[in-house]
Amino acid sequence: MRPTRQLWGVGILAAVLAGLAAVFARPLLLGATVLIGAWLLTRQYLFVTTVRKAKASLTATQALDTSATRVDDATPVTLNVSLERPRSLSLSLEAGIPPAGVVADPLVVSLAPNETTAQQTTTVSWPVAGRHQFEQATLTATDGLFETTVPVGSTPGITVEPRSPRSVYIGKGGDRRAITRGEHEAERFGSGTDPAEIREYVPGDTADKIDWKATARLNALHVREFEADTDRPTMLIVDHRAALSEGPPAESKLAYLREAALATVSRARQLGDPIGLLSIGDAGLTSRFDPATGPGQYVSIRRQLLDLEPTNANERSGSTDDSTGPVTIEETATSSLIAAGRRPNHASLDTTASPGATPADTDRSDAFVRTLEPFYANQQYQTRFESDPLLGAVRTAAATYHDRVWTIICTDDSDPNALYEAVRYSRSKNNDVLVLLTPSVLFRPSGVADVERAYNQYQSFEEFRQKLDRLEGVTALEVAPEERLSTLLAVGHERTQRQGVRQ
Amino acid sequence: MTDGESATGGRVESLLLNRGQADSRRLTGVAALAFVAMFGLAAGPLGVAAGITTALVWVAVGTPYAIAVGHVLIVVLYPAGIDPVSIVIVELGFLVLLLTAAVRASTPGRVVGWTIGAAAGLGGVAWFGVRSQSLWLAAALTTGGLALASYGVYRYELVTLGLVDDSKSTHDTTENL
Repeated sequence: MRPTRQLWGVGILAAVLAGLAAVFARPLLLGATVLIGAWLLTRQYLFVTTVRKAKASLTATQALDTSATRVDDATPVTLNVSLERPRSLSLSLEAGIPPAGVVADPLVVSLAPNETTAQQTTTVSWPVAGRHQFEQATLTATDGLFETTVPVGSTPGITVEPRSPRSVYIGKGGDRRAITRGEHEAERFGSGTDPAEIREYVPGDTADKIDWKATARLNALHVREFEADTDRPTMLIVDHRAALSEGPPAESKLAYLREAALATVSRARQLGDPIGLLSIGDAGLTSRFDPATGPGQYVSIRRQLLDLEPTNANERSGSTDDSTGPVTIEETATSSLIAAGRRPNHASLDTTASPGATPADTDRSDAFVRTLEPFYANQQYQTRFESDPLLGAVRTAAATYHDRVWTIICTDDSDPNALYEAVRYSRSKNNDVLVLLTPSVLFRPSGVADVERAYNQYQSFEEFRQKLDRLEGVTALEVAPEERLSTLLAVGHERTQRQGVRQ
Repeated sequence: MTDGESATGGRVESLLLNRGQADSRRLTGVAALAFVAMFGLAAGPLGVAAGITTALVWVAVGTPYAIAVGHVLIVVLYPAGIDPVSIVIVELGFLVLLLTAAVRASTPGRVVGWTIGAAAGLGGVAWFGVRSQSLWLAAALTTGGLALASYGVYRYELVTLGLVDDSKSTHDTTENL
């Protein structure tokens, strides 16, 4: 409870009168202090009892249209207040929007004396992911002399999910396929933990291999064999060139491929398989992890995948390296992997929209750019390639790891010839190859508005994918947003039906 | 100007005691007449003038300022003092002003009870101070008593509105156990 300015005046008046009574020795003035004090105490008590009744009869709700949203989305929040019966108090209610919610103006509703209902709606945007709990709405009541603030109502929560691909489709022509492999047959015995068979003891078997229960049961020495633990080395080659930035914010081709790659890493970790990573920028390799096991390896690869951002298309044209084929010389040439420090989802950096732009062309007057630029300026290409970076990466993988390796290439269909060559080269080294392809048509800014035209482009993509898939030892799968793909496939289905009717 | 000031037309009064404007004006007039009459009865023609001035202040500014102005006028007009019976009549006149607002409350009886009780309590403290001690001490006791009573109502508000956070004390007690 806080006194208003009016009440302070009254309190000071009472004190001054008491002082005058003492100074002038006139007890009558003390009577004025007594009566003013009685007036003040009565109003104070009346205010407290009225606020208590108002609070008991008040219903305040902070209503959210949805309990879950995505980062930077705006959600309407409605603040509703109602009283069972009118009160003479002046009431105002402020919503308890969490600190993570951003509103242009505070959400406040006011109830003038004798009003019983009020409602106000505003939109709140959520720049921070996580679970955000509303605080109780704050009721401020005043009668002109006193003012008090009381928390009232419920505390709804909202879950803000980070922007990422909503529904990742991985498959062939509309049929979902698994990209990760399960446990694999070792086809030989060794020091594993899975029992394989029981056989008769032969000289040379160690005593600890003897299965005593089987020996007792069969009345002859028997040993138990176990399946040997095997590894399937996997090499992830993830393309994060400028073309991979195509798509809506946080739902680019790279974002979808990243989800697939992360799933592969997760599965390799479960099975304890060695896994490596080569990430390809426009001018060469940006990171390189040779296949290995161990928690550190999986965490490092996962972190690297999460850090990948599309590189600048101009890096390649700016390269002065005149070597041919894969280059293994470590270079220290700096590269602004993220042009001018901006993440590609921001409007100011769109390498696909302005492929001719150089880092120098970016808006250096932006304080944000100037602040971040030095941090990104030191990022380096591990290896630069004169030829196609994808082919260079595949050659690097083959050169550094001589065993048979499961090669997973995550890229798009923007350069089918180079991709085809890279896949064939990998196959020539007797590697199994999985190609995860994103169809560019599904990531265009215009979406699939012109569905007929988009479907034709998708058909071209599908033909290329099938061409890759037909290669021996090669599996080619498409990675795409499920909703857009379903839309296209529905068009194809209708077209097929129409053609069937004509015939 | 706060909402309260605009709603009460500049008078220092609670919104809770500002209902029924038409009835309020009539009642104010009757109370002002009664007050002037009591002032006149206690202090003669000068008292009538003082009563009218006080009533005008009451209508324009509010009860606390009317009480202050009325008492100061009595002291100024009668520097030698007035007899105790007249004092009682004057104070009853002020009590009429105090209780007029109570009629506008949703629970008039409770407001009247609180007003009389508070006046009696503070008056008792003041009377005790004047009778047994010095006037300075009486003034201090009265203002101190008023502040203490106001703080008591404030603490009552915290409890009745559930604004007291007793989790810390509960936690401490549990730890001590």
